[in-house]
Amino acid sequence: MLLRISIVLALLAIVLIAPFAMRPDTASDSRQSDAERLVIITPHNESIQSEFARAFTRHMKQKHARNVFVDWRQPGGTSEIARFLRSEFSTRVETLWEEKTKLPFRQSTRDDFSNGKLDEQVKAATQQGLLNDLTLLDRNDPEQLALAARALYLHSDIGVGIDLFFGGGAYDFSKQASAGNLVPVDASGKYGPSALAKAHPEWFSDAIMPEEVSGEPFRDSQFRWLGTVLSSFGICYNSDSLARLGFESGLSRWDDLADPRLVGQVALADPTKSGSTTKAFEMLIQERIQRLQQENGLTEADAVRQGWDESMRLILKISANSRYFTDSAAKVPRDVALGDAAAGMCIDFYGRTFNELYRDENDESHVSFVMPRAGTSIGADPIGMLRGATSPELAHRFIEFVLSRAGQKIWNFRPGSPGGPKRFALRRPPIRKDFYTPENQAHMTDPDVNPYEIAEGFTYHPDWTGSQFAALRFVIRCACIEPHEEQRAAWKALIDAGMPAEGLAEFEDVSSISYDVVVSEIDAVMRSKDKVAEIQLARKLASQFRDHYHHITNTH
Amino acid sequence: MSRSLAITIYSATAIFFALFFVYPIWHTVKEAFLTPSGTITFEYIGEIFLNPIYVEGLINSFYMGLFTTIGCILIALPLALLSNQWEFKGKQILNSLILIPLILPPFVGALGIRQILGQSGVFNALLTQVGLMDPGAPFDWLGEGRLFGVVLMNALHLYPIAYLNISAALANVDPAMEEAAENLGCHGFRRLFRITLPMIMPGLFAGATIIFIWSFTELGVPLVFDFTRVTSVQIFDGIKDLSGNPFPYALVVVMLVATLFFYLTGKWLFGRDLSASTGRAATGRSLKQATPWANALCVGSFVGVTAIAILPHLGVILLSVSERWYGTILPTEWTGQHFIDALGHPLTLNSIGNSLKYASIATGVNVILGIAIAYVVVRTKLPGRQFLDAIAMLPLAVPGLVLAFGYLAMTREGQPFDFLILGENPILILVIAYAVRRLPYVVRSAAAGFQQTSVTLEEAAQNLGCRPLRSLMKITLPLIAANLIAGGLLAFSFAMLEVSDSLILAEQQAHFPITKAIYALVSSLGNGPHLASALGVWAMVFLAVTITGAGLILGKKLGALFRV
Repeated sequence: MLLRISIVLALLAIVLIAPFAMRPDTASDSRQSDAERLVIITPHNESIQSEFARAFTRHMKQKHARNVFVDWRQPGGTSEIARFLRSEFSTRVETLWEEKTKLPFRQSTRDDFSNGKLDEQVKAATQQGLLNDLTLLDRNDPEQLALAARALYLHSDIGVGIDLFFGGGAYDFSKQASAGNLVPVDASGKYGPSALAKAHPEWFSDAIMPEEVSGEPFRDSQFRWLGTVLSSFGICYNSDSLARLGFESGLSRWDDLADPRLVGQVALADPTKSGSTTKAFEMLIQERIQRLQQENGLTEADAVRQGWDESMRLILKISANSRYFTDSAAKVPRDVALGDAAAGMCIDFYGRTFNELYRDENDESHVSFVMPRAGTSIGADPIGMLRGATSPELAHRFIEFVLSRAGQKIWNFRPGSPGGPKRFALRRPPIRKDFYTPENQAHMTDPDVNPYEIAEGFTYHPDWTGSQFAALRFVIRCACIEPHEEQRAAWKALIDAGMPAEGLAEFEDVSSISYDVVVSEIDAVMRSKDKVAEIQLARKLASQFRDHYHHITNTH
Repeated sequence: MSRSLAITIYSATAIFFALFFVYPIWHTVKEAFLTPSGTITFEYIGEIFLNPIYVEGLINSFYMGLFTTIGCILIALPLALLSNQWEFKGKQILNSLILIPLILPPFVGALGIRQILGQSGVFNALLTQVGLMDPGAPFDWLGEGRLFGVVLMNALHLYPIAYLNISAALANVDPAMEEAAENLGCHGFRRLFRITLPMIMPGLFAGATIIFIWSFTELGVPLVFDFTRVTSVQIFDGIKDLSGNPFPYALVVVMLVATLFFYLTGKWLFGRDLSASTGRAATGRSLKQATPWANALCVGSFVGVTAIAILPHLGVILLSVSERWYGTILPTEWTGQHFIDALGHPLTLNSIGNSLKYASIATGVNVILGIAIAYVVVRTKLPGRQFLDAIAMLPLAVPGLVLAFGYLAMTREGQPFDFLILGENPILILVIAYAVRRLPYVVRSAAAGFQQTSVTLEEAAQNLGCRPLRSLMKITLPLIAANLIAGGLLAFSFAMLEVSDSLILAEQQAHFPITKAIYALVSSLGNGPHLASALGVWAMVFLAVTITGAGLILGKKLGALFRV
């Protein structure tokens, strides 16, 4: 028995000793007990986390002689972070609400305290002194309760123990900002993005960090969030797979993804789970509208209407070619690189990283990344300070560092270059316009990429499709994602039947999600906040498309 | 056992469940049942049954559960019977290897499968090499696999649960029964179906119900095959949807109710006569020395099943040592650097310690709770005990994120359970979360043990003056040790590999368990999957050593389980 026990213990010791033997020397000193702590919630990948933590702690030590430790929080991707913050803030507000008003915290209270649309009314009511005594609220007056909940939250300094929210899309940040979870300055008024703008007014000039570029916001007008780095969607493809499927050259525009030869070979990102993916689909529509306006000379209104409908047809076909809609940004380029999909929609820095990763001895790679011609816009990847941050001053310093010249180098300098990251090439284009100098380009991993030049080729018009942003996600879900099985079957039936015109026309019938219907009917339901009506409409639309697809499969 | 003690245990377990299972779920799903003004609504539930896509999802989930269960039994039962009958070459090692699917780490497991079954994966490269496939038209195994592929992959992942439970049940069968049948002229299959199977029914039922519920609600495998029309994937998609519609929570509740329904139906159909009629094995079974043919059959079956089940692991292992691996059978460039980077990563060492801590305490809690619940269910006639039994199975069916967000909300400052966060340390709530989710394994194993062990033994002890609790400790528990070990092993392995609760509840790096470290590594740019695979390989080796180590140290007791 003793022998057995010692054998097992010896084996266990061998297994356990490996991580002990290899543990990094630096692990202990970054977490000295006297170190000040900065808590950041982020969907950024581990490479970005470790490079910025390293650079910022070094910066604080050298410039301010302070020991700092960055405590990263990552409950998942942007969708989990949004849920996490909502859950965290609402339990805190619940406690405060019950304490101050002695009223129950209802479902409606939860929706109201984070409803940015009430802000104007709250301001007026506060000025009139209507919300002075929260114990005197009329529990049968839902409007008054709503304003009180919102006012209570906006005037509070409730925190969730997290200082900064770093990374995601402008969409996610504007949602958080309007909910009131992001603030321009802390309670003292001394720290935060807005205070930073006062300290470095030159940074926020058009020459360095414009407020918007080609129609895309690069920061919040009230300074509740600031862009730190840029990103865009493009197409990545596997040239081996394309050659096998009979393509003579690579892909260059969104339309190429609808080629029937790509059936079952396209990897798509899921617009229902990510704001930046919805944005990419919106770009596809805007490109079409722009083309119709320029090439066919349509009026703006006609171009918008026709462009939307044509894009819906295109999206139906791309979706029919697709294997899946995923919410994992890294999955698409990885599957394309492994040949499990021939092409896909992918974020620029992932595409470039995978291109590099598979470069052979002849400097050629079977993974390519392209920005679709005139079909992509550049978006900002922001940072913002959360309400009730426990270390607002450190948070302020971190934002300052990320936007400084030194911080911007981390995003795109080669590892080991002076001032660059230490281990990982992050391959992301920094937001500062003055970063793109010949001097810096010598150290950059992507010296040829200047997002500001790319952005010039395309202007985003928020007035065309911006207000249908939520509806766009919704129609893609109903027409493509929910009936995906039937859609793929119908598409295959059409391909096998040689693409008969009448069948294709039936497949491309988008009358129930046309621009006019979306504006007049669908959008109204999306805005009504009636969640049951939304589900009912989803069922109606998805059934319609499903029946369509069934009919095509059965008749071809 | 005295009635008052039974009632105490009953109430204690019921309260535990109410607080740490029902309450957190309700906290999350209530949105789908309350209107903004606070009244009850069932409109969302109604919408599920009006929508053919969700109804089809439920039907597909049912098929996924049913066929996976059948598949697992078809794999595990013959193996367990062979092992129970024959002494064959390499039995000890084969008996351990067969459990290998239990130790597949999350996140990287899917990457391993893709590496093997992808269009440019190992399997197609192999077929092309031997001339069975045209390199210009590779077959898309994952894309075309659909439900069949999902079921096959599920069965190959979950059969150890059936194997462990059936083996434990076989260990409890009195060989005298089979010998008596044999003497009376009942041989071969007839004896199997009339004598052996009815006697091991408790174990078979225990394994089958866990597998059914697991696969009925399985999320990862359908996602690997991009098979989205099953309820679990629909819930996952709905919860992640930006629109924040509470509809998926209604779906969660429907899935839970369906699980309860299927479990109770299964119990009514197959589990009615599970109580032991006779005493246990009084004599040890003497194993037959395998003839050369039987030897070949035994070794062949074990090696065959293991060889297929090990493919995802092989994918992970090769990923962890490959620098370049695309379109070929084996990597074209090898490296050991990923291990150095992964094991030397600042997250790693801490996370290993944390996982060990969380998983072993949780397993301890599970064993105590599991024995208590199983005892109440099997040995007492208290009203509502069947309900307690069914509820104890439900943690298998709850989507991880739903429970995790429930726990998160109830432990925040000012909430009733904020005392469970010690300073900033989430260890208590993590242990509770792990324990709740792994409880079904221990409850089922313990219940099967109680059912196979006649209560008369305990009664005899009590007649001789032994107090009830003492008779349980001294008589019954040692007799069902094999079952408890089987359940405990499952609980420990799966707790080490737990995902959702860890992602949400372990907020700070200092508290990360190993699965969250793997998750963080996967997301590293470029070589992330390789690093994560390296850490995954480490976790596999560690679990393998723990499980076989437990076998070696527990010797005889586990021997009863594995007939070694």
